[in-house]
Formats: sequence, structure tokens, C-alpha cells
Amino acid sequence: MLNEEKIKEQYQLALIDQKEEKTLENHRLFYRSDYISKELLKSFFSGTITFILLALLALFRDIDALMVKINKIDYESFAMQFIAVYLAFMAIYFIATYVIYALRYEKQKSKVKTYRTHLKRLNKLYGKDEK
Amino acid sequence: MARLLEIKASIVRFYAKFDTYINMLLKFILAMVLFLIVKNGLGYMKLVSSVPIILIIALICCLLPISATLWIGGIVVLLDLYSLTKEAAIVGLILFAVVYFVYFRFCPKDSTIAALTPIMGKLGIPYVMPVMSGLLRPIYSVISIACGTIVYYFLDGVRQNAAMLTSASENSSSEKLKVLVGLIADNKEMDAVLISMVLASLIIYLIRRLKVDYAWSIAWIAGVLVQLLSVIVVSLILSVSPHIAGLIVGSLLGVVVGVVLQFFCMNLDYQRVERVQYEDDEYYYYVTAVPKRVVAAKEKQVKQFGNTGRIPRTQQVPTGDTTVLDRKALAQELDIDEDLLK
Repeated sequence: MLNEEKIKEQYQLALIDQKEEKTLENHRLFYRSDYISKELLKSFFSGTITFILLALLALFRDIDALMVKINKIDYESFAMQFIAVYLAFMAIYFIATYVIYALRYEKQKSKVKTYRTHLKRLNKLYGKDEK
Repeated sequence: MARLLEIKASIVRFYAKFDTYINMLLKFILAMVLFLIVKNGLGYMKLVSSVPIILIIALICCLLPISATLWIGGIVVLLDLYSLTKEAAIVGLILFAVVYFVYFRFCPKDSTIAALTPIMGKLGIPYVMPVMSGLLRPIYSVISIACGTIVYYFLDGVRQNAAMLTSASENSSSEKLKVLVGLIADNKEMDAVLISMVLASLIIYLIRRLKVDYAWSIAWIAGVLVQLLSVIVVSLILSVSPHIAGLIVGSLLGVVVGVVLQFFCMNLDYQRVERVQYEDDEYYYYVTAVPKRVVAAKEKQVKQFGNTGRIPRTQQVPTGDTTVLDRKALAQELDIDEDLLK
């Protein structure tokens, strides 16, 4: 005979399993610090590419002026400025990554908690059946 | 109010029953509107700008996740820009790549907000978006609003400068690139709108998360007011003239959106707030419970005609374990041992 309670719990679990597969995977594989570190590492690459693209747009904007001044540029100070801007950009990008992924991990935690609650209830129902 | 709550309940029931089809229909409408706006605004490549093709693309989009609409929309826009000039396509490609690395990195699930922002911008009411994102989405949704706004102003700028960009004899490539980048970098109107929308969105989010009575109402009222003021102040600082009519209409629509969203998502009755205090071994709890406004479900009345020989349900003695009762009855009926049915 079908057990309505059991089906309800199984349905909830299947729903979370389907919708939050990545969330459950993240929490199974990573602690908070590892999760954020992984995302920061990804952000290093995506941030660098974004910075290069933005630099390219800036180059397009001032390409004529740059061609005129190209022989008069002090490359050492230019490079220093470029690196300083890059570091400032990356610092903002990293802070944004840290804040967003820390918030996301906390939010995911509540979903995992709900999943575990359903799992425990289902386990209890199976325990009752075995008795 | 009771009538409205009944309508809400029936809408929710209807949506729950046909959610798959309704979601597909909404995705289709979103894609259709998006591509028609692209067609009317840019539409330089005839191949992707004809209505039958748009219809087919929109039909494909309704079967895919909303993020696919953004990807396909991006490709269509790039093809249109390529038909206009190569420079526009290059700058567009770089801009979309930057948006990809910012938007898809931080808020990939906000595709609806990201797609709706340029649409609302084109309709002249971008000020509706902060209310929507602030009330329904997490704080980092401001990124999708910002990305959508930047893309809208870039494409709108391309449309306005199309004649200049196509006159190849007069302008060199470097000048075209300069103009195209200037559409984003030197656009003060965009800066004013962007700052005010981000500010309003953050304020709405932060206030609606507060543990105070009527947080949602306070949030959208404060958000709309801050948006109105900030557009005017930032426009004055940057010396640009804001579209006052669009601002007022957008703010009024923001109010409407706020009321509707609150009615459907956070319809609480603060008159019946209950505050409870209790303790266990480790903590002392201060609980505030705010009841939702809901329509009481109508009790079904079963009328019986004649003597059916059954005991009315209300007179039945509850046994507690209906499973056991059913099993017993079934075992008796089949004339088998009850344990076989366990």
C-alpha cells in the first residue's frame, strides 16, 4: 500500500535534488573557505580577462592620441600605472567575489538543511516500516 | 480585499496547474518582445530581422532556459552590428564579453532582470526595474540591472549614430571606434540613470530585509522616492537633462509593480501580529509571527440523497491508523493472511 507521508518526503527530496543539484554538490565537496577560495581563483582569470577587455576599449577610445604620443611615453611609469590600475580593479573584483559567494554559501546552507530534514523524516518513516 | 484574495488564490491555483505552459508562454513573450525591439532599433541584417525568423527564434527560446534567450539575443545583436559596421561589431563583442564575465560570474540566475532592463529602457520606463529586483531578488541583482542598462544605452547610441557610422568615406576606423566607446564611457545620461537605479535597488533590498512592520511597503516607497530624487540630483551634478515624463511614469509604474508584488509575495496582516517568548535549555526565544492574508478554504458540503447504507464521514470513529484498517479489510476480502500485505 502506498504511504502518503513517504511519497511527500520523497517528492520534496527529488525536487531539491533536481533543482539544487549544484548546491548539494558544493556542500558535499567543499567547506566554506574552500568554496570561496575556488571562486576567487576562478575570479582571478575572469577578472584578468575583463580587465584586458576594458583596457582594449580604453585603447580604442584614445587610439589617435596614443599614436601621436607613442614616442614620448615614459614606458616605466606607464607600466607602473597600468599595474596599479589592474591591482585596484582586481581588488574590487575579488571583494565582490568574496561577498557574493560568501552570501551564496550561507543561502545554500539553509537549502541543504531543508534537504537533510526531509532525509531524516524519510529515514524515520522507513525505520517505522521495518519495525 | 476578500474578493482580491480570492482572485489571487485562483490565479495561484491556475498557475500551479499549468505552470509548465505558462512559463513557456511567458518565455515566448519575453523573447518575442526582445527580438522585435532589436529588429525595430537595429535590424540591419535582414536575415535575422524578419518577423517569421523572429517568431521561430522566439519559439525555440520558449523551450530553453531564459539565459538562452540572452545568448541568442546577443548573437542576433552582434550580427546586426556586423551588418552595420565591423567596428560596431568589435566593440559590441568586447562589451558583451565584459558583461559575460561580470554578469554570468556573479548573478547568472538573473536572466529575467537582465533581459527586462533593456526592454524597459526602450519603453522609456527603466525605473520599474529596481522595484522588481529589490523586492524579489538578492542584493547582487544590481549587477544585472547595471549590465542591462549599459547594453541598452550602447545599442541605443549605435542606433542614433548609425548614419555617421556607415558613412565610410568621412570617418576612419579609429574615429568610429572612438565614437562607439564614447557611447558608454562619455554617456552622462546613462551614468545618471545607472547610479539612481543601483541606489534605489540597494535601498529597496536593504529596507525590505529589515525586521520591522510594513518593511516591504516602506522599501518600495523609499526606493521610488530615492530614485526620483537621485535621478534629478545626479542629472544636475552631471549637467544632463533627465526625461521627466519617463521618470514620473516609470516611478508611478514602480509604485504599481511594488503594490502588485507585495500583494502576491508578501501579503501580511500586521494587525494580527503575535509576539511569543519561550525558552529551552540553551536559548531564550523572542518570536514575532505575522499572519499572511489568505482566503479561508471553503468547506465542501456533501449532500446524500436516500439511504446509501454508509455512515456519514462526520459520524465515523477515527481509528488513527487507516493503513492498518485498509490492510485488514483487503486481507479479509481476499481471504489471505494480513501479514502478506505488509
